[in-house]
Amino acid sequence: MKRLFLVLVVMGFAVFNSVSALGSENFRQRMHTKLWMQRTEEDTKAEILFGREVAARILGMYGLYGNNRVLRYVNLVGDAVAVFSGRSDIDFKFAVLDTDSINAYSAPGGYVFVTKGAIEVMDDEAELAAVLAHEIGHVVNMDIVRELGIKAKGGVSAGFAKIMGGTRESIGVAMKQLVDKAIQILFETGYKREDEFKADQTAVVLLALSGYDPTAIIRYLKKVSKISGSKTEILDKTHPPFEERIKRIEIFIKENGIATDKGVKMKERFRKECLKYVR
Amino acid sequence: MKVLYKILIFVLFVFFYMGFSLADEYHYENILVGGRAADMGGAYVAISDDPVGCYYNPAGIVYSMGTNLSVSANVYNFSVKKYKSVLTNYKTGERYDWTLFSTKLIPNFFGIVVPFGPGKLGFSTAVPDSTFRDQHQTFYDIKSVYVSNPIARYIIDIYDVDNMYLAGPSYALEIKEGLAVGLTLYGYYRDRDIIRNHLLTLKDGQFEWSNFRESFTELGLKPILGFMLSPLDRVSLGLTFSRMFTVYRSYSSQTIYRGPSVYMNYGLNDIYYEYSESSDKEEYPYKIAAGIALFLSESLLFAGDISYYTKTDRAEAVFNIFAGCEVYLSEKIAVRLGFYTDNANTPDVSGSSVNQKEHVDLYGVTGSVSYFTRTSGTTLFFRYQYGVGEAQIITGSTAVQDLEMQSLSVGISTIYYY
Repeated sequence: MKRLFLVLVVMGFAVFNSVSALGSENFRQRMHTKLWMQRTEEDTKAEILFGREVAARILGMYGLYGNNRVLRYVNLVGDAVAVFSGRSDIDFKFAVLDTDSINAYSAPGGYVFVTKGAIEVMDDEAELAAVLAHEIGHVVNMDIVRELGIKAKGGVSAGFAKIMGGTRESIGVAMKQLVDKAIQILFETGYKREDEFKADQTAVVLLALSGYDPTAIIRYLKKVSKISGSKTEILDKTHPPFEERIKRIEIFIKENGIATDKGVKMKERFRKECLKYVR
Repeated sequence: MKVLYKILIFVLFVFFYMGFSLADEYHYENILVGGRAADMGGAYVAISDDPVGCYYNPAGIVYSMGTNLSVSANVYNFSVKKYKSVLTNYKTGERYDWTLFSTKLIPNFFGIVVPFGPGKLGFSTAVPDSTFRDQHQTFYDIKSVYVSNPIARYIIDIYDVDNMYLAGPSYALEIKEGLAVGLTLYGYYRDRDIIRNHLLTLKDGQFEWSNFRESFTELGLKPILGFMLSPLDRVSLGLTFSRMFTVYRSYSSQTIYRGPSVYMNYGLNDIYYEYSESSDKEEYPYKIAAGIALFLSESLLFAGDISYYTKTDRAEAVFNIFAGCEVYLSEKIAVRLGFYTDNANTPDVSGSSVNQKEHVDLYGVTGSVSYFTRTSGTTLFFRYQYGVGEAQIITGSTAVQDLEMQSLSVGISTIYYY
């Protein structure tokens, strides 16, 4: 009987593993979670406070790229895209990380980072806008907020304000654990695949709304897909395969009838205000 | 013990409800565990996306939203076992039923799930079985095997306590998109005490008195291995394997008997006394459960499970089915309905043998209504179980009695998200 039981266990696993899993995990979400998604002002404050901690951790890892002209330019481009995000309750802040690795990061509350290495790969302002728009998408879709359950409990004074103040060691420890988990998502495990695909779609929409070439994200992904090594190590392990992302974006553009011949690229301005300082 | 049985059947018309015939051991789904899971008839193997998943299918907890805490409490459980027409009034011919009642306030489930490493870590406690009986009954003018010397008064006292507790950690991992595996390792503790006391007074003034006590304590492990797969959008499949392994068992029983002098040839102060102990470990069956869930929309969910318990030395193989649905009337209100079977692990009772275990297949319906806020959900529920079958409660007799069982649980469960 024991042997039969073990055989059944192994067979069960083999059968399950052999069948391709096609379902997206979001189908499990029940209607009452819409209540959970309803945001209050206190929730936004908690999101910003938490995001600030995550942003500080990211900056601590790489450091801020010190060219103020580039920083100003990146913020202008980011603001031009973020104004269409629908999150008027937060102020998006953009920064460049002083590292040659090719990547971009976002933290809840509107903190968006792009690496110097990523900018070096870009050819025009639309590609920069595309990368920033993808990260804005993660903020708008509240991917980390949902995954970690970041929200105010009984008001900020009972929530993250206490955590920030570290008035109780146990709450401070809990906060650190949440930040650790967020860093793990950004640098090790990555977002859920569906969250990445959705951020790509959000980016396409934001590019179109802000007047940029919506295919800029495809151009950028194609270029990065040809690069391998230490520069793309984190990007490769935290994101779905480039081919799949590009394919899904192309299908999304086609299904939604998004015009691809009207957006601007702003190549010359990008080179003058940004690229010549970074390279 | 065999001598005692012979004595009883030859002397008087009695029935002696032995401790090991508690119905709990004859069924595997005595108390459905959890809030939402039990409200859906226990059809949860393919859902399990909250802390209750630690009990039904630990693989599912990897799909729980964020970090959440679940607390479920059966506010009140009331169970009735009725052996029909087992006693006859020798004066009027009226037939009496013998009924056992159990009432209990049970903290049915507690669990928590948190993100941990690449997967989710859970911890839960469950009470899948609990019985409490404390009753005193007196019957008068009962017919006995000796027509000329019926039973003037028959007093039965019963005190039964039987509880099983599970507690332990769970861990689940999504090994590739849409395929998860999980393991729960429960420690279990079972504690049972049974005291049966009866006093018969015959019409001629003689009496018979017996006192039976049984107790055992059992410790062990119950691992639950689970898999969950989403082969299609909105479809989830679940599969689990589990078994209880006894690590320690301490059993003792004591019987004290004093029969009527005339029939038993007893001296005035003769008492029959028997005591036994055992540490033999119980053999529990393997359990395999499979389920399917259809998430038709964010407001409509159907699920169905089937479970199979293997045969052991003391129990037959058993199949049970579970089905449930969940409907959201709004973002704040959801209702659930469920149906399940709880088949007996004993063979059918035949009229040609004696001392057979009772056989009752049970059928249950469940229902609940939930109210949600941003961070919590509160549920009012009911669970009702019913079945009719047969029993042989007269030791050494081939007579078969009809047996009716019912159980009702009503209570409140809560879930809190943070």
